[in-house]
Amino acid sequence: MQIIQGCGGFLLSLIGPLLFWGQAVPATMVDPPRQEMQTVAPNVPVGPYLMNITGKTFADDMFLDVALIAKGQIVPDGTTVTFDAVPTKGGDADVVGSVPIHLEAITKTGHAKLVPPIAVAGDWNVTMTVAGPAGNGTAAVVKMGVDPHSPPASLIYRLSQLAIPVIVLVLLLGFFRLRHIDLERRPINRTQSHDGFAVGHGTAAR
Amino acid sequence: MLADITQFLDLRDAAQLDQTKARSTPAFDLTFALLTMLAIGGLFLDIWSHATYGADQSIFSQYHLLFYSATVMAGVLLAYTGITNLLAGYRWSNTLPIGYGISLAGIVFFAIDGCIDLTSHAVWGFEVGQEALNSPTHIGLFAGIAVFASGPIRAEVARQRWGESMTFARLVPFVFSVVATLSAISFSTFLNSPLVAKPWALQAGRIDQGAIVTVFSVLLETAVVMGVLLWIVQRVTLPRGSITLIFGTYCLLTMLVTRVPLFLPIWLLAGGISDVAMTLLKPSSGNIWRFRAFAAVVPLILWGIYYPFFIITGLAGGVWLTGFVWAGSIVQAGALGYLLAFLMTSTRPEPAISRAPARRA
Repeated sequence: MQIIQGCGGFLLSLIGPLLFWGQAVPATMVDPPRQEMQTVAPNVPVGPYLMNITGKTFADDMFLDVALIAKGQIVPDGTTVTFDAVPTKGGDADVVGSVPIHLEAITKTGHAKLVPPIAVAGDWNVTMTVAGPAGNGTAAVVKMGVDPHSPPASLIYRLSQLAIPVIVLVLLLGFFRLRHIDLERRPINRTQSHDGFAVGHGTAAR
Repeated sequence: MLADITQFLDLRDAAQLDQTKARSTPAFDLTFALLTMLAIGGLFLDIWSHATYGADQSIFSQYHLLFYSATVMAGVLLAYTGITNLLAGYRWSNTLPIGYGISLAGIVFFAIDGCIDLTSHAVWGFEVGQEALNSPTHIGLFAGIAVFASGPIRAEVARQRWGESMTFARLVPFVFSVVATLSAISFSTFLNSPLVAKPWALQAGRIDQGAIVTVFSVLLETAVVMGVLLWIVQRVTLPRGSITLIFGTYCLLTMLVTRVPLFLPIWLLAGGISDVAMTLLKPSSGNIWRFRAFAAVVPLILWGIYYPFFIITGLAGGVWLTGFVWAGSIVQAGALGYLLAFLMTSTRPEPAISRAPARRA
């Protein structure tokens, strides 16, 4: 009886995983590895698509990552994503000296990469459009604020940042050497050290 | 080999270290502390850049250059000292002055973690906002800085163990070192510190969530500040005015990011009164109860000034919290300080740290 109960318990324990693996699991959005990094516009519905727009800043590579899924599945490669941005007029976030931007990109493994040439800070009205096998769709206009870019530092300034610690170290060491100021003092008048190396009077551990 | 490593890292018996290892002079401490302050200054400017312009656009931004260069130079100073002593015939485990073996280990850790951090930036990109403060590789960098920047503190502890008292020439690098260590430890909590970045008590409305965040942030900042302060006060007898210097310098450094002098009078006033408390209570005397009392009193002073300052001046809109919340948070901060001291002191009284000269004839 105990054997039967044990076997029954074992079979029952298999049911849980079977139920889990057996059910249809919608595909999760894969890559980018860090969805939260500089999120620009999360979960934007575009017709049959769901879009996540994330800002990515890599070394020497900044772009907008547009991740697309359609009904829980990654969209097939070749889906066209269109990015239309119009600078706002009026208000303190007015974009001065810019013209509307129109970009197109093709998805690959569910992602499209866009590099809008926005160089000045301010608000932009952005419209995203998607055209692919799952259908076409246009998102509602999203207002996106663009942060100002850090002003480029001159080469001299950058070099100075490198040089300041070097100069401080060289000057201080030079000054101390000229004035015969010691940087350290060795213990004196010691007997046998714990390490077993003998130390004489007035000498240091060697 | 293991004995050499523990000797190099000052992990052996203090009496033996005092006999075998060199002690740094104020000149050495000052040079090292200035370099670490440059590194910390570069890091604060980098945080300001993150807060103002968002994520870095290059690994080699000017602020990265400053703090990496300063850290490398601190490593160069230690390497120069170590190699010079090695060539002079000293055993490698005794080539650096007391307190600086761990600093070199901190710099090596910083370098290794820095490589991992740069790789992570190349793979996953640059972090923004809270991400940048909580990224594991960045916390590793902060930890590395805290370990190497605290070298002059350890050196001072060893000197006081020898019976030397603090002089002004030694106070300056000591204060720099404390401020650099405190800064490194508090970087990851920068956005949560009501006395640094965000005056939560002013911004939080009359809602539970706001009050929760305020009290939590008060306790967090108390733990960070008192953790460092108690660590040094337990081991080093500070001259009067030291806490004011430490608090004032720390606040000035944080202003590299915030560009707002709002908290400077609070830090200075709290530092001055804490100095009076230190003079009266003598927490470094080795008496447990004096130490614990000091640990409880300083947070009471700090937050006891913080809230009334904004209530009286009305700056930034005054305090929106109810009296129950802000008054209670002051008491909680004092209790937290006491608990920290409680953890740092044995219930069985131990002999006080010997101030007598340990020189042997």
